Amino acid sequence: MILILSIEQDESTIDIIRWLCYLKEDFILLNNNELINSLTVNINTSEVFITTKDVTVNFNEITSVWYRRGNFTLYDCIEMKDFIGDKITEFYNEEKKDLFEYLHFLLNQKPSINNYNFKKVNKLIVLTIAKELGLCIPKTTITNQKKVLKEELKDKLIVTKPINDPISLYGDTYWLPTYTTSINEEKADLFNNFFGISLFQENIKKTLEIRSYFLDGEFHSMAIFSQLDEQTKTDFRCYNNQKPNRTIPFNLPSDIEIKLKTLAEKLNLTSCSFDLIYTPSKKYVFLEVNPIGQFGMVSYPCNYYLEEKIAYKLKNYDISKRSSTVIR
Amino acid sequence: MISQKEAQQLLDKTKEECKNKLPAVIYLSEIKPISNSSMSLIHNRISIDKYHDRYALKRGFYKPITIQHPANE
Repeated sequence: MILILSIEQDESTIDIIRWLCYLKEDFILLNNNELINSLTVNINTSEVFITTKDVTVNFNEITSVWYRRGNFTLYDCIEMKDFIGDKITEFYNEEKKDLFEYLHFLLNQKPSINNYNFKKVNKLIVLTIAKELGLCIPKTTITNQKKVLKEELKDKLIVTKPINDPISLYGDTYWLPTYTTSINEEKADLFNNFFGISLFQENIKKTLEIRSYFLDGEFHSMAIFSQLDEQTKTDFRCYNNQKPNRTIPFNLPSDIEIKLKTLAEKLNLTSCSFDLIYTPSKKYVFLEVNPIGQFGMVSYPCNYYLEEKIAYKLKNYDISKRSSTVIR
Repeated sequence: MISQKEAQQLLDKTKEECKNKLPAVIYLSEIKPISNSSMSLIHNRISIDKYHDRYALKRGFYKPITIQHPANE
């Protein structure tokens, strides 16, 4: 039995489920809005039973796992807002956090594609490891001082971007994009002498951008020609729907792939998306890794059929388990 | 849900009051209009109507075999 942990409305999850149905594979989908009514864990036998309105999950019958998004959600959430209640709520949330961490630890013992416990990566740590592995990274500075920012601007163009994830602020017809933003002298002058801690990175000229989806040792890369469009040249995620960027399949050099694979291993990731830039001076510059990774945007334009590949991997894990073969 | 104009006013007020504390990426940000297709690309999520049509209403079809909980044995 294949277990999929995801969230409602995730299109890639639906696509993979359609492949699993085609392959006649049994699976359980647990979305994060499906509240857990009852839960029993036996540490000695590693037995776990989770019951929601629709399904009961027995961890011992799970043969492979795809962690896509979200987390377990218990029905009995406590929300008390007073001197005592605050502390009890905090205490109970921490109890659940540790329990869920343990459940994901157990699931990670099974053949799996990604795991909740490794889904969060620190951009700064990742850049440091990438550099140690010999990957080229942009010059990166974190500061809250205007004088340092001005100094950085003296000899190069720079961009600023969040250290963590972009802010999630969406209205019905508007949003607050906080992706990569270019900075020039004029914009720098808007700041006071001190501002909030910010990450500044060299704005690297690019011939093309590369999004590479890594799945269990294999790379599926896509070149994005975003440089010549004002709207997308700093960050291709500021999509131009009227005239979308051209995207084509791309092969990374094997030495870059080996380094990226080592990076994924160090971060305990079996699947992730790497963002890179190919520069006019023919260098590959590593920008960041996204452990969850939107692979649909690579799969469809490049005809990689990644949804089918993931479904087959989960199926093969399942078959191997049924025939008592140990994987990993 | 507040209007785009109100959201921009709130953001401007925050920028004015917390100028020394805001990270550069927030200070330089602006509320922008977004189309449904762009929203879908950013989230990789389909609309709830489409979701119900394609998946949720067919849940019985997708639902896997039932596993027996020991408490029910």
